[in-house]
Amino acid sequence: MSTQTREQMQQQLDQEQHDFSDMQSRHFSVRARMALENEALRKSFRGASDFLMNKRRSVFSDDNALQSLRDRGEAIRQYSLSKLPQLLETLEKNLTANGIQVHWAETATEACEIIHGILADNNARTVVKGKSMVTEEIELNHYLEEKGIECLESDMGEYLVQLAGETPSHIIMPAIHKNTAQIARLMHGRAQSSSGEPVPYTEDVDELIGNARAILREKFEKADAGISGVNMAVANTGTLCLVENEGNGRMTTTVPDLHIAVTGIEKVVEDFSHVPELLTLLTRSATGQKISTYFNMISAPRKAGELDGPQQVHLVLVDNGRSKIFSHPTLKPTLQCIRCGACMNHCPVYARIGGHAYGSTYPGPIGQVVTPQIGGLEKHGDMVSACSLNGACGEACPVRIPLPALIRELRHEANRIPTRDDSAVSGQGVKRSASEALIWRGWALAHSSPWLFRTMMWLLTRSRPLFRTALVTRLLSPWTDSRTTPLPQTKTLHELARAHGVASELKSHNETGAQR
Amino acid sequence: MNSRDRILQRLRSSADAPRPDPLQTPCDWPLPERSEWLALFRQNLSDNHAEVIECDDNNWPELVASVLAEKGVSVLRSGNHAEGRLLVDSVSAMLDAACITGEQSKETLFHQIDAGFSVATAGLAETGSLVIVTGANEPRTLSLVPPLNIVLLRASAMVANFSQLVAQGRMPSPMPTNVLLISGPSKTADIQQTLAYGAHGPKQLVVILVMDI
Ligand code: SF4
Repeated sequence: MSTQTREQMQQQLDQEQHDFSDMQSRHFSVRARMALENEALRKSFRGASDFLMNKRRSVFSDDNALQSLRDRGEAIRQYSLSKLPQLLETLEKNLTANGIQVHWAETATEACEIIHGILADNNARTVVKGKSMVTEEIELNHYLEEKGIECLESDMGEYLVQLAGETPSHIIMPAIHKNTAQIARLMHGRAQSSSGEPVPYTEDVDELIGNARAILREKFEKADAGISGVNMAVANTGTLCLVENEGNGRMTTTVPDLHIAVTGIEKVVEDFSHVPELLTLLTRSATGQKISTYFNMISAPRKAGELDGPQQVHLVLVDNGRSKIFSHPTLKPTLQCIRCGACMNHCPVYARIGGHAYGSTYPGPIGQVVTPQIGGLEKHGDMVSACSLNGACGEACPVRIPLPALIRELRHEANRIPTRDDSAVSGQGVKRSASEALIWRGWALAHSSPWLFRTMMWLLTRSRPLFRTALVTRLLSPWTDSRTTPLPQTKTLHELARAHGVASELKSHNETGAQR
Repeated sequence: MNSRDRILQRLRSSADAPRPDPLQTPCDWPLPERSEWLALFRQNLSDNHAEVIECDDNNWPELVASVLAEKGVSVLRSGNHAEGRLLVDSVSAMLDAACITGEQSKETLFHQIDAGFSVATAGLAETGSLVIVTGANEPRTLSLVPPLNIVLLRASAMVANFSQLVAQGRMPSPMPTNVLLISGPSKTADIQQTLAYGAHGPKQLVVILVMDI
């Protein structure tokens, strides 16, 4: 039992919500530092990352099978993207023939307007939402609330996050940053039954879920409309596929009279024969499940004679920067993503700073790649630096997106002299600084001229005492604040090799006639 | 030009040459042996917290009746199919059982039905999944809203996995309104990775496996 009263919990929740908005309004580096200093948060993320990595490993015990499945997954996604415009047209044609209405939105605002328009046409005032990262991306809840439409998240994690007044910190497990005690406080402090009763305080997970279930089932029963995401859209049959465990996705797409599905334009595949392998890769990579509890394939609204299901189904295809990503010669593989979240589970940076520090809908490696391309490097250029290029994300990605290479490319975009190409990432060159450019120019020069390189190395090895001076310590402080100061060796590697009589060294020394 | 045309035009202007058929990329994901299918199917379902009851073509209604009694079900609804009618006939003496032929009010659906009975058209061994093709005689909500879902599957309808089902052309064509793969009761791990069953859908899933082979 908790020693706090409900009022005290509510005060604490208000404080936490305030802290959250405060954190979100700060600069990336400040957010990251705040996250690092929060013990409970670090514990939540460490625990969740370890748990998810182990679960994934346990369902991919045969590495050959895994690698070959990844080859297939990559081939399917690349094939689908290579035919993207045709597939979208086929999808539209078949969905329309099946009775599903298709809408196209170029921007986030246009998507929100379209969705609001459909709701308004049908006089829908209450909406339940299944889990959908695209609707987070376009900030739909906010938009609809301003229009006076209640939009309730029904995925357990999303529901909790919404109740707390926060945003998801992980694309698969939105409330991963909270521990059970925090959720117990949140449910008791803020959740209400339809009659306005608070739910009893409990830290028992089954009871907590049971309480949320009761509240949400009532909402499903009464809601005018359901809004969901889409995991894959099959062009040849005009089918929307949804992957989930809880059943809220099925509730959202089955119980209300109106269903609006929202998806990014990249989620289309050509044929049903491309679905099974992607599904296997998705659930195993995401949560280490052989399959999710439900795989829900929707191809039409309710037909004559059928006893349930929505009367209307709409699909909103959202571009919001994707067609631009599509045109970038190097960054295009970004669109292969099936949103499994494995890259964040395996990222050592994400495990330490958590999802909110990124300040974006999509955190972790895929977030670092997608967000600056959608929202611009001006705003999101800093997160690209939060990567040690260790490569773990690229190894984990089920569709072999070369994430580290894409992050490097974005760093290059951020630091290069702006081109005027159409495909240039917005905010190209914002991180360019004359001094950094000069340092790199010097670095390149030193590495292309043997005598300069040897001179530089000789100087460095002979300047060890300098590294102990206050001036150098201050210069190196971004690195040395939390690390010991690195000291150069007393001799260069070349000198050591020569002293050991390494043949090639003696030879190259004589050939280049180096000074030392 | 409208948004649709602008999006498509941008995509077309930077489309690459089409890639080769991705199904030509070799994939050595192992298919389970036929001899292991049943055991694997059962294991997967029980790992996911579902009950599997083996029976034969004659005794299954009896076995379902005992499940219903044991779980204290007083209202059962089924789709209007041969199996449903058979079951309703054999249990209607002991509880309120019926095949649904008209639309149910949401109030009835959410508050008055204890158990829904559905029939699967196929089973997937690798993942322990039930394939349910919904339609006029197999309502979507019966496997979703009532707290207990009972699904009948004939062992002869088992295949290795989803890929095989699709490759053998056993997905319905044209696709009906809604097809489902169900692999356990509804669940969530959204609170500190602790599994809880009965998130929004059924708390319990009972699979009636008719051993017709
Ligand atoms: S980039 Fe790869 S690993 Fe990351 S979410 Fe997308 S598919 Fe998964």
